[in-house]
Amino acid sequence: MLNYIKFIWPYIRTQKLRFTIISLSILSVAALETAIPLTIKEIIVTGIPSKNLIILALGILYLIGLGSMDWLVNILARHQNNRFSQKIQYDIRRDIYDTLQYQDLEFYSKESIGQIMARTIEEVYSLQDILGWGYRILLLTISLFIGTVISLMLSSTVLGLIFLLAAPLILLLLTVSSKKNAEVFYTTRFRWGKVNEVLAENFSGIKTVKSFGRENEQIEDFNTQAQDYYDAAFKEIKVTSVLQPGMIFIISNLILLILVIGVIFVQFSIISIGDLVAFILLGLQIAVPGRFLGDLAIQAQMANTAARRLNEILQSKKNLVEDESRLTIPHSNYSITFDHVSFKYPNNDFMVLKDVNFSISKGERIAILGPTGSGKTTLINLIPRFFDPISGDIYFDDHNIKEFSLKSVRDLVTIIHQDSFLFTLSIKDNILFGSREESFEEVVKVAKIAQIHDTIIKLPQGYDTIVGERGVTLSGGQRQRVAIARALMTKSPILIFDDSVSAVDPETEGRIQKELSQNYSDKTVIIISQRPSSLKYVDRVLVLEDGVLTQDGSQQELMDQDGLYKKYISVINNQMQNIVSWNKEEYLLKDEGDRT
Amino acid sequence: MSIHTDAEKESARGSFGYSDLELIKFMFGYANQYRREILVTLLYMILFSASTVVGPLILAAAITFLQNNGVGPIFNVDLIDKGFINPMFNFIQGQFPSLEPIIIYSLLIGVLYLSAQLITFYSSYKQRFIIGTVSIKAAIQLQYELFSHLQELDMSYHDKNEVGRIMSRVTSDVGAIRQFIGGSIVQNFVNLITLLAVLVVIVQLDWVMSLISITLMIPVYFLGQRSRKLARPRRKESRKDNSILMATLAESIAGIKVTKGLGQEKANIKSFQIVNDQRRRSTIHAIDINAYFFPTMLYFSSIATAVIMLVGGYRVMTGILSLGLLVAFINYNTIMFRPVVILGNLYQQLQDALTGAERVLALFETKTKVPRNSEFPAIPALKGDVTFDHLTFKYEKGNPIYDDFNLQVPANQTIAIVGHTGAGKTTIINILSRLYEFQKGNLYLDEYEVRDYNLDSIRDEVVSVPQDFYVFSRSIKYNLQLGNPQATEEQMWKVLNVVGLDEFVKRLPDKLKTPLQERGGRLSTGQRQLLIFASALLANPKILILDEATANIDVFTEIQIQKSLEYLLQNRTSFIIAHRLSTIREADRILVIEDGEIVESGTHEDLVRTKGKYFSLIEHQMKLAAGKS
Repeated sequence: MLNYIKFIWPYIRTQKLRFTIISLSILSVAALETAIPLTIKEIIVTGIPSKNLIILALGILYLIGLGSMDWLVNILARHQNNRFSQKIQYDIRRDIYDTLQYQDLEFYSKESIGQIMARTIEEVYSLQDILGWGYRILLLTISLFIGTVISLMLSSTVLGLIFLLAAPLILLLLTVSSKKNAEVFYTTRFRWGKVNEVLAENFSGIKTVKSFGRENEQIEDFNTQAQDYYDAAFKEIKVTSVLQPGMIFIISNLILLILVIGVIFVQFSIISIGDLVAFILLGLQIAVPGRFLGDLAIQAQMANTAARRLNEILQSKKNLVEDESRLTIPHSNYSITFDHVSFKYPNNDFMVLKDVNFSISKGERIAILGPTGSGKTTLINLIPRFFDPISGDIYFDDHNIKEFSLKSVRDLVTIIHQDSFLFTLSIKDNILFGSREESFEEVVKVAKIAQIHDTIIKLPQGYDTIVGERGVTLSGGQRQRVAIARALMTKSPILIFDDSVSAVDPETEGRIQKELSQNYSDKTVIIISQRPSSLKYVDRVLVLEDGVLTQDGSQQELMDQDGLYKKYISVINNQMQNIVSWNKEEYLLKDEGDRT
Repeated sequence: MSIHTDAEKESARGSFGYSDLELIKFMFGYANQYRREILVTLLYMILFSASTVVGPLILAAAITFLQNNGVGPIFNVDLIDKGFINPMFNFIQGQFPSLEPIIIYSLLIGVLYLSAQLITFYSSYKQRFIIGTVSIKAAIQLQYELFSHLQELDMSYHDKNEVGRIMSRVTSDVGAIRQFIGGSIVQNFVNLITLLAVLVVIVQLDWVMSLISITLMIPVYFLGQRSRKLARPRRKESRKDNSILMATLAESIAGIKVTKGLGQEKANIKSFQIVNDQRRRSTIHAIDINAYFFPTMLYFSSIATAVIMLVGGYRVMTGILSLGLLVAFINYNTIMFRPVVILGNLYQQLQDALTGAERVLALFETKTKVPRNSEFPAIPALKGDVTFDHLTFKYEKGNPIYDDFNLQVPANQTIAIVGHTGAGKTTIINILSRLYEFQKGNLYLDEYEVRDYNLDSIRDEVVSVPQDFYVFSRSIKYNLQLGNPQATEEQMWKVLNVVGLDEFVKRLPDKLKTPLQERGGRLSTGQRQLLIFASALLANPKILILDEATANIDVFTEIQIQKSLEYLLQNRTSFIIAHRLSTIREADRILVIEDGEIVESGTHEDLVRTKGKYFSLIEHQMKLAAGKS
């Protein structure tokens, strides 16, 4: 519970007034609901024996007054609580989102989207119940309990003490049972997630499954996961079936004690018969919110765990948010120098880059070649400081990029990734994503250079067409060209193509390259590409093998060396242009063609 | 803004044309084999209602005893005098004459009350547990059948339905049915029984008094209806905003590289703020209904208590009613109001369950066009001849792609299929791999017509590697087992060696058991292709169908793919939709497809000599290549 309180307290503090109103109105509800049985008692003790209808009617009016106040205060409490709990959820979500935005890429390489989603969304949901009704129920039960104890004490200390003793017992019972029960709940949720994973994979890969005729194995696999889930669900049912009846039973036993002792006390005139009635009614009243205490205890356990995990994410925020005082990298020629740079990913043992040295001067066009897994992508990710080297330094001119603000370094470098991601926005907004203040003319200009303008204007809404996951689907090549346009929009002096034309046909790629060298001759361009056509406009080639920079020079120089480059070119010459391009937009139209 | 409307379209009920009765029958069909358990649950419910009703009577008896003016007869039994309290009291006093009468009496009341509470607890627990268990068992069964059915449905179904939608059939729709069978119906039924039991008892006790609660319950019932009606569109709105929030979050995680690369964190945060705020507003809007209505409904209960006190108090004064019974009426009033407040939920839950059942039932009634024919004989061992005999094929909507198509391929040949996009290359493969059903004609493997044999046995002999094949996130091993579930690790290493992936796999932390991340994210495009080749090698089919990947693969992996391909094509009949010149050249026969017809056919040399469509294509290609490198 402590984790949770510590986590939630700063959020509560931003709404002190609302929190106070809620707490006070719940206390008033408890006071009113304690007063009602006591009024009934008065009517029984004084009203009825007097046989005076006016006294009776006054009592009833008083009852109605209490009931009406109870009604209004209840509405107030819930009304405020809705706003309070939603605001807190809003704040938590906002903070998590902020943190996620500022997390470094390593965080994302460790976990899948699904896992991050689950962690952030489901954990917030775990807090929801407690915020939504938990606090209200808890405070109400406790204050009703206290109200009852006080009323009992006023008539009979013994009865009051008996009732008071029950509190620690119930508390103990709840803590002991809820810890174990929360585990059961967690297991169920976790396994449900597993079932969903299996389902998602199966349906995404159904064609592959069918092609290999593995339906039976998939059914079996699903069944195992489902069975695991249901095993957990059986345990959960056992717990949930006992929760509410159990709490009611416990509270009933308290009433029972009052009843048994009360009967004797009335007989010996220690308390009045009206007192007994009032006590029984009070006890019954506690059962209304009290029945949820068991559920609440489990929710609290889960919220506690959730708070711990959310805290893990939020804590790291401090290290991520940029130190505003960091300097902006000074304007320069932006030549890039790698000085004895080595790198390894924290979750892996082996070095991805080993003592890499090179320099690129402004306006140079560089290709990086190397087999899969040789460290090309890692190398370029160091330039905008997505990661920092574990040893060695990177300089823009003579400025060590480590010493300047991330933002200022990243403003200078734009990477176009292979998996060109587009947001669910219009094409125009996607292109403007990194440079929102630019004009529409500018958008059209870069779209033309990226050879995508003609495709865009043929779309039903042209530049306003919504694309991305939930919009119109573009082909891989088209997406890559939009991404290129987006990158050109940024005006960064350093452009990096990370295999970002892989789905664009060579002819179109040629046109893009040509336009680039004509319009942006002063930009430094680094290309990772496997295709020979990309080499045409390149001044120099760097060859990476297993994290080591083995060759560095112009294409002519490298042809004269016995190395990977020469081997690569000879393979290409043998194969010529091996891929047959039947159609420019092979990638996209294929899918469409098959469905018509 | 048509982005989120799919789910809404689906929630419109009645579009499938089932009657509610049919749907309820369908749902309870799954609970039917648990009739005994359900009957037992019913007994527990009755027990629960009985003990709930008895509670206040015992309290009344206690108070009455202290006042000595009688509870009065209920169902012609006077609880105290001729009923069980006085006889029991006399019996105990006879046994232990030394005990104070008041001690005996209070203990007796205590024991009675405790017994009633024990029964309430136990029967309440039991009924929840049994029905919960039954609902899980029914859901297991339903989910299993549904999943199996989905595995059997051919690709024309899967093409039309997104993964998310299919998933919600198996998860949320089954969930709604389970909830209905397991929770809602029982909870509401037991509430109803209890309500009826209380009504019967209070009318017996004093019908004038009972009218008070009954009258005041009527407006509460209508208030409940009204609040649900008001809440429904608001909830829908808030659910929609919630799903927008999720989608926004998911997208910004997926696109984090772009965001960071372009330094747009702040702008993203700003737009998330808007979505987040929208969700907050619409949620408050929805839950506020409860904040107003719920206390109001309970207010009627308070009013009822007051009126009971007024009328009851007067009747006690005039001696018509005992004080004990007055207290009992207050108790009963509380017991009755709770279920009335909740009762209307049943309607909503029933609607949810019916909607779920409707979709699930409709899915079950969607029959596969390529049945598994498990009862048919297995296809005998094949030589590998393939014959398309006057075959006509079209996709669900549209014109025939192939009309009266004929093709004979002798065993062990490699056939390259080439042609423009949309010419129907993939369709040939879809027909042969039995992913879709053709409409007319016959398809023979050797002399066996495919529809006469068990589909699983055909899939053992005919394996296809689609271009958009899927790599499962589970492990290398799991993916290899797609080819052959019985393959030993030794065999796996062997095929990995053949495709040249063994060195790579050896370097992975858990070797064969290393998880591959979403969609095989740990592998490069080329490596994924090699892995699926390895699976196909393990499957070792007589007939192999391959849709060659067009994606650019690094030159060195490309060489490896070519090598593996050679190996893969040995000793089997192969059909390849070829994109690589080298593959095409090596083929025994090239088919040029145009508009569902074979327009040219022959070896590379033949076709180059004919100078037809194939030639002009190759020529163009050569020019391109010469111009670039």
